[in-house]
Amino acid sequence: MSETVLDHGYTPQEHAPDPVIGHGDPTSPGKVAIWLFLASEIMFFIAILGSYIVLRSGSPHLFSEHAAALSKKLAGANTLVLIFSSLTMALAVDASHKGDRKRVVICLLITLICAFGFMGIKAVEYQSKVKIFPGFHGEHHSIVARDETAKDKFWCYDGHATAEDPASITIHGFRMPLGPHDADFNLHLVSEAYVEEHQSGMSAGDEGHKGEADAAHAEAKPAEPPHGDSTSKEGFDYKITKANINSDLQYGPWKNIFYSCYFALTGIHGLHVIGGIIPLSILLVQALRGKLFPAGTEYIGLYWHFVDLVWIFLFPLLYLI
Amino acid sequence: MTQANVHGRMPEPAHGIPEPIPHHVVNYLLIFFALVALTIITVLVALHRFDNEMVNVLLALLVATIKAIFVARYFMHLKFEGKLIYFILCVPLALTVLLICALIPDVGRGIHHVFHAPPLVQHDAQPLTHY
Repeated sequence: MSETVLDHGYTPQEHAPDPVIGHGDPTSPGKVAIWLFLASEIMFFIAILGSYIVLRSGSPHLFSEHAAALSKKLAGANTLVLIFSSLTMALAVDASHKGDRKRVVICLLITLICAFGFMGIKAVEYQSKVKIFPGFHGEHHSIVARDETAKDKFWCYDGHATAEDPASITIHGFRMPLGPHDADFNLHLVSEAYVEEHQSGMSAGDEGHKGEADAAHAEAKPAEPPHGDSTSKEGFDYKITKANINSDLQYGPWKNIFYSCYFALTGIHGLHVIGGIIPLSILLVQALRGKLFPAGTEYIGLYWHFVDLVWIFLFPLLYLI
Repeated sequence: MTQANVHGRMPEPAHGIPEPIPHHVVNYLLIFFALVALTIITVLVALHRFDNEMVNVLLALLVATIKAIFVARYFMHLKFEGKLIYFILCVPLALTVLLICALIPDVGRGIHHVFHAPPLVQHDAQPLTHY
């Protein structure tokens, strides 16, 4: 690249007097267009937030209890990452107007790294939901059941119902030992750290347990030492007598209204971040080739700040209150 | 600048490269630190948790709104925009207020019995699902 080329796009000097918008307002058509787009985006998010408000007002305890169980560290880190990316984006726009190609490249690169960082942190957060709060496939259950032999002992089963008969239910997944006072244990309301702490106590089912005929006494065996890898992704089959089931929560994005809102809002926001990564990458490649688009960078910047702005509201709404 | 001639709009400007669009001097770093400070305040307020749930919600939304104003005014340069942009922005904001107001009857106490779910934790240890 020998020389940096500045493409200012619309300039009033070139196009004025414009019969359509040239009524003394120096705002470029591109800027008007991007603000109109952002206006439609505001309405889009407000529609979903409206659903959130109504659903939350119906079940305030459910929402606040679930929000308390979410990882504030990850969400807080994501907030800072997005705010920082907004800073670098604003600096990129400034540098682009000044024709400082090197600074544009550095700032756009940092913005892109932040965008990928945000999605990476979000992926970690989603992964833990899939692990502990699954529900993407089939009927997912979180069951607290009394141990068949030790009546004062409870187990928390988490997995998919693979078979059901009148007297028992078969869960394919994992189980966690609970104490005698944990009859009202709720997997939804404990932190991910809690489950990790208790993972060492997780017991794997044994092969002989699978397909046991006597359903009435086919309760999952108590506290046997873990067989093989208890954190295996495949899980194990546990047959639970229905009479011993203390609580059974079926959940997933479509069964629990908090997670419906959580996945809808963060998912759509994540799609917007991906939608920002594409033009940012194009601008970066063009800047590396020596071509700067100050107006285009400004428009993409406006979009990127909007994405940051939406997250500023989602962070307290989903994680803090 | 043959482009301008092709369009037949204006004679070629005297200068070869058009003047850069004027931009405004903003201390972006200061705005960034203000946003970080406000984020910390949001988290601290949330961790403190006042007894009145409405106070928690309003405080969280108030700090979020202040942060949003910072982002819009300085990062998005709204402070330096003309009336047209403000007009474009006012329409969805007015519709937002209208939509939130339209939700008031649903959010009110009257609808609670329809949506109100029993608490997830059953302290009397009764089964949530009966077989």
